[in-house]
Amino acid sequence: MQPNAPTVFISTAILGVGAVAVIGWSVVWTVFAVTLLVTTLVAIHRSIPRKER
Amino acid sequence: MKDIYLLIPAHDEEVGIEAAMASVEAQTKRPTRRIVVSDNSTDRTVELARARTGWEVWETVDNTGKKGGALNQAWARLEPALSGSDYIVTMDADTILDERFVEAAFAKYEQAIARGRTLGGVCANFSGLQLDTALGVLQMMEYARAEKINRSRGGLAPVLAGAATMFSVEALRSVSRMRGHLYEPVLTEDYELSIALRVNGYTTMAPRTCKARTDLMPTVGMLWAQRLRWYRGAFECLRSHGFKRGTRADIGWLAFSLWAAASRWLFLVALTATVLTIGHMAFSPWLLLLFAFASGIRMVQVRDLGWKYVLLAGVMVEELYYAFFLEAALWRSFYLAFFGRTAGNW
Repeated sequence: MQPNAPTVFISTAILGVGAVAVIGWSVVWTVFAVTLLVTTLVAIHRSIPRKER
Repeated sequence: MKDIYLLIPAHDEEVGIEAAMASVEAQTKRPTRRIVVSDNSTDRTVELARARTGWEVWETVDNTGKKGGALNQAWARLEPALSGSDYIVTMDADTILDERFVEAAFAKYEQAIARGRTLGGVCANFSGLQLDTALGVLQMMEYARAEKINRSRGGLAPVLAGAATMFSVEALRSVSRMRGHLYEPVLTEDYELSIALRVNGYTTMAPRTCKARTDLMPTVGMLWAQRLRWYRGAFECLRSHGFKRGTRADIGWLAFSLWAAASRWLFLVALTATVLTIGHMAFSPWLLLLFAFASGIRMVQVRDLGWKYVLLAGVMVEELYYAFFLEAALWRSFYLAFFGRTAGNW
């Protein structure tokens, strides 16, 4: 049986709350900060023109 | 002698077909044959196309495969007469080619041959046709960024957009020999063909000299439908091809995009939860500096469009809504591709 949208959403929410309860907010914020840093680095990398092949 | 055959698949395109054909007639390097492939048109598409000199107009027979099916029929008809050194250009009936598109794409192939490279397809970098709305401006900025991203890859392009691409006949034959036809009945037949070419060892490019303009989506609903089709089509193509040469980089990029999109939404949720439970929120100056830096990058990416666009990118607010919109479409497409009960229609 394939999951439908509500079950996917509820399981994600439960996972999220569970993860925050176990690891704490500070880790969550750190993950966000790392993601922001990585996406910014990727954006920089993708803004630099390179010699055409 | 290297011949160039240009095909315009068209289904009820009376509004834009003449402008598209005029852009072909204005090419600095003229295709050997120019063909409009009308697919089940019920408007004046065929009449308008036949009225122009120097064009052939073909009509599909019992085609149920929409654009890809029309091009498959045209390929089957043309293929016996083609030599391996010929080229085929396909373009949409709502696309306006830059007058040097064919010349620039041909030159890229000549360069690739001289360097011993196997180039399978050369696609245009797109900008939008005039649409004086906020949605139009945001799409223009998105297209400008896509061009910058292609430049950062040294001109390599993951998708040979059906809207304007020149293919090498030899490369197309490598695909048709494998499966008996060119285009598969999927949502994004152009992306699927791009993957098939890369899997066969061909490079796919969008050189900076190749340009075209295409229609922008005028309403949020149409944009949503377009993006669902693009993203879902991409997920389904990658799933059917699997993790191998030609798909690895795209799978990695989509996985990263999904994570980045989820992270932005979860960040908002976490922010709200924190404010509700603690009552306030303090940002580190370093985080604000990072935001400012990200804003600066976004400004640089659209500088070719002019100062108004740069200013808008700097403010970021409107683009933030737009990013949320696209990310929602990305996740919805992911869900439909992997858990949707109905198959995507061609």
